[in-house]
Amino acid sequence: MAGIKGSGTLPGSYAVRVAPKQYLLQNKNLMWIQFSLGTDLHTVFQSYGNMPLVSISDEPDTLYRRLSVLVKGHDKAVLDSYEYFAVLAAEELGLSIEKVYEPPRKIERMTLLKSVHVYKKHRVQYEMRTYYRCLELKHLTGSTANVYLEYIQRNLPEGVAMEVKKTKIEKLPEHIQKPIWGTLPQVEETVNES
Amino acid sequence: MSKIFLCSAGFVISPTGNLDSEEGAAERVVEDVFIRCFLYGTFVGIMAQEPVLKRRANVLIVCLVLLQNMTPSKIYFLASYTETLLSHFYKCPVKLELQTVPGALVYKYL
Repeated sequence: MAGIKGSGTLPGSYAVRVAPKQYLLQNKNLMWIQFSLGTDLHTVFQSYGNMPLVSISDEPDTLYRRLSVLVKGHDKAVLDSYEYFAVLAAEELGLSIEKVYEPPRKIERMTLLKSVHVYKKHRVQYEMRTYYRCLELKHLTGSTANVYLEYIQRNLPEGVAMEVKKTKIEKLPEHIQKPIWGTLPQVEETVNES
Repeated sequence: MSKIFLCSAGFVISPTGNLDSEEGAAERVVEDVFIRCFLYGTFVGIMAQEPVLKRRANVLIVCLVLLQNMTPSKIYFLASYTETLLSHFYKCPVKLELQTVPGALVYKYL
């Protein structure tokens, strides 16, 4: 019984399983409807049709030299498909991909006693595997990075965690732009006479 | 009783708490146990199999497969009751995805 999957009580627009070809901008004008079982028992309408798609401000946009997205999961196939999706989204949005690589997996193993009371020689082993995938994008603006990350994160599969590292480019502060040797007053050298 | 099971799609959905350098595994387990007990008590006798719990960025999605024992209006009431109560308990949106089946499901236990 699948009703229209809407966001309901979440404050931001939330899209469940957006297909890769849809862009995030389309979803901002959606009306959110909380459906319970496809019937009209709970309907809460919040229409955001008046929000403009593009906002213009005077401040210059932040620039990022590198955006590093690391995804971790228990299942390698899930990470494979997510990597395909993220790379496709970046290419469609025209972002430059620096590299996509797979850091080595980590296995946490626990060796425990099999029996409750004695039998030290008989143990049982459990392991928890974490697979990684890293996607590095270069030369992004702040708004591009925000849009891309929001789209990527809304479609993160369950059981997958993400870490994002941003490398910002900032202008050199004014007081250290030029070297100061030559502008300072001459300091007289004192000689210790012992 | 919560147990790791193999659902008909063939995969186990575990929350991110068990991944390397991720926190919150114990809280997820406690939440899981409570939600399963709660669902077992609400949908008495009509749950065809164990519920599948998924978490996507603060939203809790509960996937249930029910038998067609009860009238639909009763099922609707119970479903909206669980949704509202669980969302008030855990302060997060809770969505229920229901599916009804005419008879018992056959699948393998591991």
